[in-house]
Amino acid sequence: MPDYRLTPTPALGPGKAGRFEVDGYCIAENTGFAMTSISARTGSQEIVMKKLKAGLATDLPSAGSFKSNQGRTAFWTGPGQWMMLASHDDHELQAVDLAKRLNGDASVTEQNDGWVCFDVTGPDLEAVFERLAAMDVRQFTTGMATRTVIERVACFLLCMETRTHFRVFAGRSFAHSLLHAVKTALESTSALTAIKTI
Amino acid sequence: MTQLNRLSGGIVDRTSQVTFSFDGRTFTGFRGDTLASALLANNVKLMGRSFKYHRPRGVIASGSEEPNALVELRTGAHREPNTRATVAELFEGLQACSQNRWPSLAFDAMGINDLFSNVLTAGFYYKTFMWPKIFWEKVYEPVIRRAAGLGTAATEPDPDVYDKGYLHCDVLIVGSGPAGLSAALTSARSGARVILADEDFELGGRLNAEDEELDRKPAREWLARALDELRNADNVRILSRTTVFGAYDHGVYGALERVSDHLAEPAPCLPRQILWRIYSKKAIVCAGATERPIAFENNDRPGIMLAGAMRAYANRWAVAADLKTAIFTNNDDGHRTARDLLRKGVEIAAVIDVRPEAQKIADYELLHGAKVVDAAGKLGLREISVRLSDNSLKTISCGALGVSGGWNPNVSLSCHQRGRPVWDPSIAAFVPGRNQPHGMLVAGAANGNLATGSALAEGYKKAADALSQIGIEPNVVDLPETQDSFLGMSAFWHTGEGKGRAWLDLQNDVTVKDVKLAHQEGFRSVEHMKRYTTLGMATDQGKTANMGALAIMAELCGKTIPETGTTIFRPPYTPVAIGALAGRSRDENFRPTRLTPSHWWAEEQGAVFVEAGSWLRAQWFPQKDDTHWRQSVDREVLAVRRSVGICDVTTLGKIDVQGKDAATFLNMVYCNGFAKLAVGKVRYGLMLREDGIVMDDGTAARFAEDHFVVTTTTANAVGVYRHMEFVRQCLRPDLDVQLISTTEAWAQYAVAGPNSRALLQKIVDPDFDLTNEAFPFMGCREITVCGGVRARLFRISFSGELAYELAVPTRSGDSLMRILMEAGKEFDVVPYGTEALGVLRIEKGHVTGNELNGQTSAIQLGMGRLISTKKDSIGTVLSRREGLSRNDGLRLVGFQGLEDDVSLPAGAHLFAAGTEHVPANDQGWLTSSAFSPHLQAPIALGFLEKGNDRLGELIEVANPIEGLTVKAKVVSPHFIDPEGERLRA
Repeated sequence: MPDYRLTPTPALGPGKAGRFEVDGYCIAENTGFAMTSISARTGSQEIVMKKLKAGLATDLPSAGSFKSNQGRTAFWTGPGQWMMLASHDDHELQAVDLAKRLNGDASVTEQNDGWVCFDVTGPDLEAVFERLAAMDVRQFTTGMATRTVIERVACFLLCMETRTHFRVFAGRSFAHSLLHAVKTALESTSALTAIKTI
Repeated sequence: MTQLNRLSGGIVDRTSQVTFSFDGRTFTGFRGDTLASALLANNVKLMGRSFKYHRPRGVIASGSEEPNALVELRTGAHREPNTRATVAELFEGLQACSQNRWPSLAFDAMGINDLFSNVLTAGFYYKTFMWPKIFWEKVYEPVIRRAAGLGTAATEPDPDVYDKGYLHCDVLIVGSGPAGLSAALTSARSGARVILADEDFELGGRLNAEDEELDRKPAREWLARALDELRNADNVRILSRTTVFGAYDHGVYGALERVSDHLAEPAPCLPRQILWRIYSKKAIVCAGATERPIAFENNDRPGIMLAGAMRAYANRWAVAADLKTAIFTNNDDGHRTARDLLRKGVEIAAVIDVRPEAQKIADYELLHGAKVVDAAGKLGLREISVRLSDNSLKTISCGALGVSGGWNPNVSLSCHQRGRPVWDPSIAAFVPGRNQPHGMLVAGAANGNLATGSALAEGYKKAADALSQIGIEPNVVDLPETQDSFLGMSAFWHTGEGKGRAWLDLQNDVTVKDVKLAHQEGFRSVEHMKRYTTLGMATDQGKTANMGALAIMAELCGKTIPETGTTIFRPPYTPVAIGALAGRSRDENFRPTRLTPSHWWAEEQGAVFVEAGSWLRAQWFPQKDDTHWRQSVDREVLAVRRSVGICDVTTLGKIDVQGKDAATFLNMVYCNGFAKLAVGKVRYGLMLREDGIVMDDGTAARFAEDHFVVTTTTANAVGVYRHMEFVRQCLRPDLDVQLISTTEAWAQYAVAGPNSRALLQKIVDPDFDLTNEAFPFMGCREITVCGGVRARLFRISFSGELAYELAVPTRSGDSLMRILMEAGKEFDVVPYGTEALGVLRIEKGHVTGNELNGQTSAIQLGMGRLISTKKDSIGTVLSRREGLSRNDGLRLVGFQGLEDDVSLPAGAHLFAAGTEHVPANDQGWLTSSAFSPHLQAPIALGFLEKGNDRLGELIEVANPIEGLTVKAKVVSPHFIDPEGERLRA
């Protein structure tokens, strides 16, 4: 019997460049995350927060923000709900681990491959994202996370560094459409910046 | 050509000369000119032809209210018709053409219409082209449309780039005139986040158009300081070339920024225009006012302009419409124009003022108590006739006439949410009423404060009010000293003399006579008058026309103007290109598309794709020798029935349902029972709406006591998830249940056919026993494949064959497809697309979206017994309604065509043999249709009255649209393996 082995493919497809650069801006697919959704069961939110604080030294953030510690990042996705990120190489089975730790106090669902993640960096991302998302991007500072819509694609947006580094999560199947939207905005931002300096 | 009418001064950049063309003739202007100012500078007064009568027309305004000077800009696919020359910024190489004329602007053959003006009055078309009726659409309308109209749109796809975006602020200020600037300075100094938007490319509003002083120095010095301060403030965003065109709910405003219309060669990625949605806590509308004309005979001659516009051309652009000019006014503002023109060296032929008490303010001839009653000069004004106070007639030679009938505050934005303006007799104009959009304040000329000083003061006051209301302490701003003059206006709308036409709406060729005719024929409501005469329609929306017509209708009706009222104001304030509304959503990116994990593999195979929901799915996989799609589909179907096929079914919605009450929850959303479903088992589920109609179907697999995975149809995935969230959050918040979509986390493939088990055994890790005994039909398990990769296996079948659905983490999906195809070679495995999927399910009698169309009940689908009577669930009670559950109602059955090569078209209606094909005899319709390669016959599913009792009956299938009627036999909907032996094998 042949020894069949599965190989991973990025969200943008096999062999596709997961990186695009223009005039100091960069959009790069980040395939390194294991993702797990955590939804506290009825009346268990405090217990869930305590258990994760005690077991993983991870603070679950309040609405509109994310927190990182010891290689894990959690961002708020709804009342009593969070998404937990960790290195896929080290924590592919994070969902199994968290389910065990929380032991019925939360519903835990593996989301490893449900999302595409783009790290977008550049000198003025506020100028880029004000033409992508209806959120008030000029009030979006380091540590904030929000749910928004980019070109009709539902996204989570994390501000890794005010103005210069945003992390975008969207449904994996939307990867190429989202990439197109952000690429177009980067290109036009570059062109807009050029005429404003004329 | 030299610029004959260029004056001294102005704020054009004389060091930057610009060459442009109009109707093929080359001219020069300066940076800072508009097309209109540059043409006037070159003594070009004739700029267009009118809509209906093809009358020669020149520019009358200096801003976006312009009704006449509409031109086509640029060429080829970039061509844009109906652009107002008054807002088209001049750039090197600009190519402009006049429109709606043939063969030339100076000689337009369609000008013959003007000779028949007596019969071409308002309502002419409606009265005349009534017979024969069929001619209207085929003959009359096309001919009339060709004869009338504005410019011609480019027929190629628009190559320009458009963008859209979202801005947020504490205070949005619309307009950068005196009121806007003082509001902006106040807000900025108070620390508020400010957006200052102005439709002009030069900020300052009328401060640029007037020759006046602020703080005893030229107003432009104060303007420059104010703009410097605002430009250097971090909390201020200035949007020039940006029209705020609409006021929407909750402080949201629509604005169009013209980013590169003024550039000769924009960079490839530079948006031409950006459509902004501005979210504001407060908005201060300082949109200024529009001057209104006075109607008199032939008042549309090229060279007759609004006096304020004439003043703006002189002061801002250093341009005279003509070097010999007369003024006709009912207020002091007309005299300001005369004074400013004199200062620039223009000869003032006379100032004609209707007010007997009028006083002149400079050295010109004043004819008080007089009125202009006629104008001559077809292609350019030559002379005017003036009725003097002693009733004698005087002819005055002049090349231009400035007309001022007073000013109308621009109330449009304040009325966009059906607000009604109120009448201010002091300026004989409407001003914003009290019912403005939430959060909006109005200041300056837009609020009836027409003088610079009062506009500055009100801008400050309204900004202070707005800031206080949102919790920001307003900073005190020192306002400059002004030399306000008063309008001193005496309302005067039309001279009422002469038999010729006096024009009200220059863009739609509506005259005083047309309004009188509307009144005579009973169209007296302003809304009726508008529609009967077309007054106030088209690109300018009657900005210079509406008030005159209202005044005349009021006179005719014996009412006051406020009693007569205004028409409704609606966005957009000025035209917005469709391209700007679309933004980036165009061509293949019109909307986002979702790609399946095997998309790239399918592309490599040459698959034909189809949209399903937002997904792109492989429809079929053509082979080299295939000449018709049916060959591909038939081959795929037969291969599945014979051996094994693989289909990417990742697109089916997957909803993770967890919680202590997960089973109770599913028992509520599905009409059949789920509480007792064993762990490791899958069950088909039917979901009803509250009204008992079937919403969706799918499966639920139980992986643990408190953990289910629900699948939905592809198209309904979002709707079902939304419905389940509604139930969870609103109907049963007492249940401990959590939902999350995992549709994209797992790549899922249907492996179907008699050899599916054998194929899977080659990749499923050996620990897992796939035999029928160990893993029977409707089982589910978490397994590993290919040496330890986590996977989920479901033994379910849509095709009716022995089949599985195998799910792996999506990153492995592409690879799994390739491995399945490699491992399946020995079984002649085929990939199959949605078309074959459809054929297979029709042969098996499985329902999908065609049958679950929002009209059908479980009983009609033959699933009545699925509705549990042992529990309550959404839709159960109403599904028992008589109309949905009657025995003689529609039932889902199968149909088999009698002729192999004649298909049974889906959507066709069913009639008992021998009955007339009329609605009264309609007995049902076909929902899904296919050619069955298995049966070698056309087959279909459909709903037929008492269908269950009519198996074997021959029925007529009628497609009246194509005039087709075929006979078909009513059969069981299960064309293959009705006992289900194959799928349990």
